[in-house]
Amino acid sequence: MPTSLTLPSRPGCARPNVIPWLQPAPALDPARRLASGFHELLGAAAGDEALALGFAFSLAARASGGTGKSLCFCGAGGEEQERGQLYGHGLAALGIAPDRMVMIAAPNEKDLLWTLEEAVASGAFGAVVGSLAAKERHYSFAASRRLKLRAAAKQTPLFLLRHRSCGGATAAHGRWRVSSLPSRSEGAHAGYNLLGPPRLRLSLERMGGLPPQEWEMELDVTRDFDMAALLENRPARKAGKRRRPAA
Amino acid sequence: MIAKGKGGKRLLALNAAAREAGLRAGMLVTDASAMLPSLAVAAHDSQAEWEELTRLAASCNRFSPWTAPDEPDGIWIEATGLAHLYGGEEPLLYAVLGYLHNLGFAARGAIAGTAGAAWGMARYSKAVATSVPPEEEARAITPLPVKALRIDPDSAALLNRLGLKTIGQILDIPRASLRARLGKAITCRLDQALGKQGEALSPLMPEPVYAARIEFADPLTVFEGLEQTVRILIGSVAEKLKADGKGARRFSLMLFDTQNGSTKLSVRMAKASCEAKHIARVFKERLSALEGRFDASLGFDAAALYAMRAEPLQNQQTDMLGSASDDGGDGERIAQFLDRVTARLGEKAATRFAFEESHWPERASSHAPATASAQAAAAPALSLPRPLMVLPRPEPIAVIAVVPDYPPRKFVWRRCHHTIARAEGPERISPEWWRGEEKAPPARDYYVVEDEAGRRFWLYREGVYGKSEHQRWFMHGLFP
Repeated sequence: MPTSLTLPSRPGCARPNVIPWLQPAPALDPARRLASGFHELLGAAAGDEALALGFAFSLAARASGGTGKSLCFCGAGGEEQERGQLYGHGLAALGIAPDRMVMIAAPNEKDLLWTLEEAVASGAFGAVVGSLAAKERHYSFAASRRLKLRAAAKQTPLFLLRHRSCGGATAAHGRWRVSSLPSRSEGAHAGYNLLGPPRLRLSLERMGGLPPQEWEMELDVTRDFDMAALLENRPARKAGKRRRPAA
Repeated sequence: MIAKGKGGKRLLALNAAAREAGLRAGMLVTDASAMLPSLAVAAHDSQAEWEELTRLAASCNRFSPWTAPDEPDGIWIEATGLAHLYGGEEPLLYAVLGYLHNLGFAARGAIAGTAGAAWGMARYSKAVATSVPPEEEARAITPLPVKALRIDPDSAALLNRLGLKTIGQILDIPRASLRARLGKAITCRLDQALGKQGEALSPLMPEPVYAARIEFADPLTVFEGLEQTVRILIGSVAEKLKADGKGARRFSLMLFDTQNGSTKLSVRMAKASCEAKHIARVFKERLSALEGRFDASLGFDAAALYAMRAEPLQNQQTDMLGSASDDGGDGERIAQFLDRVTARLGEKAATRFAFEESHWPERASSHAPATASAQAAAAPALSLPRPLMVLPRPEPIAVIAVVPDYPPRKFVWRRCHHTIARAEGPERISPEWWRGEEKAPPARDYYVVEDEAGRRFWLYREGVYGKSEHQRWFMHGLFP
């Protein structure tokens, strides 16, 4: 009987070819790349911010997983209504103990960058997540380089969320774009499809010498995010023909 | 200085020249003008005088952290443990009087083991400055008039009528008969003066335990000099704390300018600390906030650092090699990070999660200042879906194509249209009636919905479906 290398896909089940998160992918393993260093995360379209933040927290928790160290989140103060406020139970639902979390609300971008630098340099945290405001005034190549050096000195992973419209050259190890994908429904009830595990498309935009690539991921809520599955691993599209995400 | 008195305006206070002319406090202004036609009078403003006295008392913080104004014309200064900074009690007293004299005040002073004795000696002793040696209060106050006991004028007048002019004479009388005739106040004051009874005074600043001060020969005007000064002060206070195995939770830096004003900078620590390096870094954040509006045109001529709320430091657990264990080290590092952040951004900038046993989403999880409790509480287990981000105030959304008892097909939030592709719910959350709120909010039916692009939201419908005519829908949270 011939053996097949692909796993049989179960009819009716929405999880074909689930490859565990930690298993290295042939070309580039995003899990390994995102486990350390200084990375920028951007949403692809309006409304992807919560997803990008949740993904960043999962990465932070994963990166500091074994150490049991606290996590630090630095955001802009005074934007709670506009962007929402972190909710303890929601964090717990992602598999992150809320008591590990220290949150800082900085009144302006300068203070936010200072706080990030201090948080990374303190060496007290397993990982640091920052969220910049839509309008960046002080986040420059020099500022990003300072952050990178500090993060490297204390080996603290740093994930910085930026607004989807931001770009430019920075010293970050990688820049990733996160966009939400419709989940695979797991049944219907009274005319509505039920929610499957959240799915996202992760695109590598820039990382020293690597071509842009895309992955689709699914958050495995029954276990932990660090078991999240890498669904597909496709070769990159041609750079010029990259599809604009729908707004 | 004049004020309204019995029978018309009377003199309240007068200068040396008027005294020489034979005028006395308490005279009618008309009589005084007759004796001294060139007499210049000014109305007495007790409120302004009190404010000036309070300000003066605050500026005396340069000598001691513990000062208090004493109506109508005195200032209390707690000198315990400060004399050695000046080389003795008398030099300290002369330093205080010299300072006040330079400001243009005619001042008298006394240092004594009890507040009562010091009060009496300062006002009624023959010398301008008196230092009463320890345990000699009784002997020192014996020749003073009875007024020096801080008793009301009526009692003093009565004692004088009885022929009791000095405190020494009262001391010989049995306490019981004194109390019977003149009330409890007099024996109480007597005991306070002799140190047989404690006395509580209210200071302008809470009592510190550890202090350091610097006086400059020339006023300090450059910011860099200030930073240097602060470093020296911190070093000295930290050394004293360390020697006693203590750390302080609060540090106050007082800067005194040449115009007899003072500036106070306080920093609070998440954990008691005696690490000079760490305290200096926290102060650096406070000072950098000051740098922009640093106004040293007047110049500072003295600076003092007071450590407050000192408490014994818990010994850090160390391993056999003498280095702090990793666990405690992280807690320490977080506390130091939080100290720096709150010194620069304010107390409210750093938060941790706080949980309450409540179903109502706004109450169940909240943010509490991170400095208040070093360790945050763990979240109570909740298996129901909860968003990563919540909006502090739920925002109303417009809904289209409402389906009975289900979420709508479409909704508009922040001018964006969303078509719901998937949904789960409802989860009904009722307000907690046992709280007895007057205007309890209506119950909410929560739904988790996903739009066609895969974005997830936490929506709710207010009220029970079918009961109210208008259904109001709200956006409350965002899921990853």
